[in-house]
Amino acid sequence: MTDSAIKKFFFPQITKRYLLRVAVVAIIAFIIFKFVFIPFRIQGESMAPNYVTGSFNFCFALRYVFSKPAPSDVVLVRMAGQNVMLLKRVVATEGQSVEFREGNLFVDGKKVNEPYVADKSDWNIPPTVVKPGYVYVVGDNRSMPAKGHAFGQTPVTRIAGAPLW
Amino acid sequence: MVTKKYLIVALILFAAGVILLFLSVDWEARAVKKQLRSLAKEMTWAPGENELEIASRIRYVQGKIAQTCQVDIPSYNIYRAVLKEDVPAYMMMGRSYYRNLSVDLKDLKIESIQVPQARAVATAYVKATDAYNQRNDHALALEFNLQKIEKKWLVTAAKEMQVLER
Repeated sequence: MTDSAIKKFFFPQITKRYLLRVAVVAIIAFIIFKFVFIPFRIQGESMAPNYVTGSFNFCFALRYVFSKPAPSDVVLVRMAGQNVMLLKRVVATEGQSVEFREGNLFVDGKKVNEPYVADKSDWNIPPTVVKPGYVYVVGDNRSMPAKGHAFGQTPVTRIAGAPLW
Repeated sequence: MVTKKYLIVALILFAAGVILLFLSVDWEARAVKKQLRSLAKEMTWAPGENELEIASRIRYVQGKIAQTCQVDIPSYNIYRAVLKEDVPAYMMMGRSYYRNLSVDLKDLKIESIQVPQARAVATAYVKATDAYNQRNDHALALEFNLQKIEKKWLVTAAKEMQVLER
């Protein structure tokens, strides 16, 4: 690359065509990062050690356009809007019964192997049947007492998407 | 002469644009949002504040609450009708429990507004440190009911919305 080409790349001539190109790129970037890949930063330890506080990710908002959330999917649950969301893992879907016995997860009475959970808990939660149109979500970090952990069933409509990685 | 004519047309168009913009703004919704944002801003404290500052903050919060305000926030085990005159007592109780606290309202939206009633939802991001220096941060989806009394929007209810049902 010659000096003039580098100069032209970093300091282009401001022409009508150039301004139009900038506007198109800006509009496309806005649409992509506002509605498709929503950037977010993780705050809190509820999904540790798989998603740690301070890390950065994107919410892929089109993840559940043609499919429904399935067990072991990590999802983002919308609160009042999309600026603050809960990052949780789906453990059961509609009609299934969810229960915790001595920290072990039981879905429809069968013990579920959860390789993503690092620390075992002592949670004891009586069985709950997931309502139609709902999914049951829980964080991966079970080292904290159940009282201090946000989990439970939420409407599928509240799911904003899934993290990109 | 031509330039002057163009200038007048441009000015008329600009004025029409400004008027249209002015008319399209929902001033009541803006007032409700402003009221809630300023209320959240005043629900903030840190160690080392002087008593005058504390008193003025409490009075400010008290001025934004209706005579009776129903507060239901299960995450903090709060379920009660708070009387306006009891606000200072509750605020002082909160101050003794949390060394510092700040509330930031995100995604504030007006769900419905029909003067004198309004309903708004928001995610309150509460950052707090308790008396034992333990962090106790919470994100709560809240629903606010407000009523316009004597030209002021006052909060009549603040309820936590259940995002995750156990």
